[in-house]
Amino acid sequence: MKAFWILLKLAWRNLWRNVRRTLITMVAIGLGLALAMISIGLNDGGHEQMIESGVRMGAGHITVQPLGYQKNPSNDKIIADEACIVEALQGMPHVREASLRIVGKGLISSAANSSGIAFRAVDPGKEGDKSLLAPHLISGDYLTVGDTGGILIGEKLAQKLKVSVGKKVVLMGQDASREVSSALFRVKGIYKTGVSDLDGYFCLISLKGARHFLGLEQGVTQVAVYLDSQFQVEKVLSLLRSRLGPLPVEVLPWQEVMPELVRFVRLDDAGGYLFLGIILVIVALGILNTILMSVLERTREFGMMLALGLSPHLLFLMIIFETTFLALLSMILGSGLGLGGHHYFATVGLDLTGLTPERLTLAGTIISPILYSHLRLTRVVGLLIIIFLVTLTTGLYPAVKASRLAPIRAIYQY
Amino acid sequence: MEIVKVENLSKIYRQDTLEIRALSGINLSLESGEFTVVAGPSGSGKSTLLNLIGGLDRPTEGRILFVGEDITRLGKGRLSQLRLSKIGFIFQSYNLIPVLTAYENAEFILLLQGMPYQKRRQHVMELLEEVGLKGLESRRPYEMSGGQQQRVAVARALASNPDLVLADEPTANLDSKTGLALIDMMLDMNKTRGVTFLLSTHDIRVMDRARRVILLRDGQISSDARVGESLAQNNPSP
Repeated sequence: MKAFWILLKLAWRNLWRNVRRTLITMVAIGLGLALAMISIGLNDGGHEQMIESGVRMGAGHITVQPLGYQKNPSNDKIIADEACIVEALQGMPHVREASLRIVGKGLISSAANSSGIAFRAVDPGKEGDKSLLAPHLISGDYLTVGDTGGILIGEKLAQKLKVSVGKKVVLMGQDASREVSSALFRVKGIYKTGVSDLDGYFCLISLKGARHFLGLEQGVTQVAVYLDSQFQVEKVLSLLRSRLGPLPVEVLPWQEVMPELVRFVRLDDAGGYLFLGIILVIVALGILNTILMSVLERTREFGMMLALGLSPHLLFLMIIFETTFLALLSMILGSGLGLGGHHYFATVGLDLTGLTPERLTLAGTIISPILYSHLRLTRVVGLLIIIFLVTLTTGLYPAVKASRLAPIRAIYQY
Repeated sequence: MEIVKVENLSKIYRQDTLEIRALSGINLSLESGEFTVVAGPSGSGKSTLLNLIGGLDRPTEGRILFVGEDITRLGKGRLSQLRLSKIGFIFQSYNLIPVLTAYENAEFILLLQGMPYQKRRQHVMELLEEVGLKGLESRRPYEMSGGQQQRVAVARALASNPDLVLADEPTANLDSKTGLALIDMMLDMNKTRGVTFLLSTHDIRVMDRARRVILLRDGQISSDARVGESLAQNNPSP
């Protein structure tokens, strides 16, 4: 134990023999770590923003829909007893909101033109659905509770149809009995998201209006379940599946409803890991250089210490202690810088507006041009463990080299 | 009591096809409490002999008995343990650990041995006082003169109460006055503590102070004489 104490003391003091070199190495490792933290934070934050956007635009964190709908979507596939699902969701932990929807495809026509569209029918009173388009309205109003004939269309579609707020349009589609049905709607509002796929294709109507249009007394095609966070999907999913077991519905997580988004996130993560790998290699080379240099220039001293009776494994341990001190100090510095950077990007965000002339969609979601960092504790701890292990592993070679020195050779040849 | 017995010791350094015979057929013994100087010109094998006796190197032939134990057969770990507990070393230069103070340098071996704090502190302070470094305990090597540094090295070499202290040209980097003062101090330690010293030197003034002088020439003992004896009479070589 006393030997450990002197080794720790020696290791600490040896670290500060060449203050400039130690500081430069610490800053290099610290910056690498900080960069990795910021990069992971922005990457994860970006993914979470994409997922949240995808979930909001799509079918919620968890989607309940008629059995087989995912493989073959069709207007005639209906959940007849949606009240049963709403009841199952009542009081379930982590569930923020459940939105009843009818989704489908059809043809919209005005006096001037017609166009193929996708429509979504929602309860206008639900905040989750409202938050999708209401902030982007450029004229008119959002749908109101009890509204049956109002429709929200995008600016691009309005231009194509040559309609404005208050004008009439006809919606045609296949009803629940696979017959062609049509209904008259009046443009209630026009939105502009900046995403041409949305602005020229997507329409929002009320549930009542859709039921009237499709000849339904009741029923929905989808229940979108919004949770407090995307990280609670697994827990809620298994509970909901067990509660809805006997019903002819499929309960799917967003990952299954939006597989292309999952693929994109995985691909992007792979790029992130590659970047992290490059940073780790740079960190490892920095440490190797410092420790190896410091070992080589002390060869004679090590020889003398071995001659005095210091055992090779204690010398090995001393070098490992030096590496550990260097790693810990660098990690403290890097964590400070990294968490500072993360805090900045988590509050102010990284504004990439200048890089994109219009808002981008990717994998069916809107990508916000302002990225906000989100760093989970597990990611920080994982990164610190990796950096620590890389540092320690890198210190092994110089430590082994020093411990294998023959004292006589070390003393007289260096 | 016989501390060291060297029997038919040879050391050959090989480099590619080149063979350098550093020591050849050395026989000698050191009694407890002796103050012996190994002298001879550069390249005569002084350092090699000390290194072999100290277990820092292995001989090509022959054996070395340290308090009856053949150290040429010991493994690295056991040799390391032997050096830590039974042999003190003083080198020519760069003798101290630069990041430790005089006190810590002298304390180093005792810490490795695991001596308790109170006992260790008292012992080290006594030793530093004995070598004339009282008040300089907290100085780092670069804050001390060469002579002071070598005194710390002597204190460290004596710290573990070794059976033998090996000093390889301890005065080589010191001016003559400081060098002789260091030798006098070691002689004093030899008298008061009864520690066996084996020094290598090519300084005639150091040889003058020794009680036994072994002269090496071309890797062989050309003479081995104690005070009062004639070098020529004791020359074992034909």
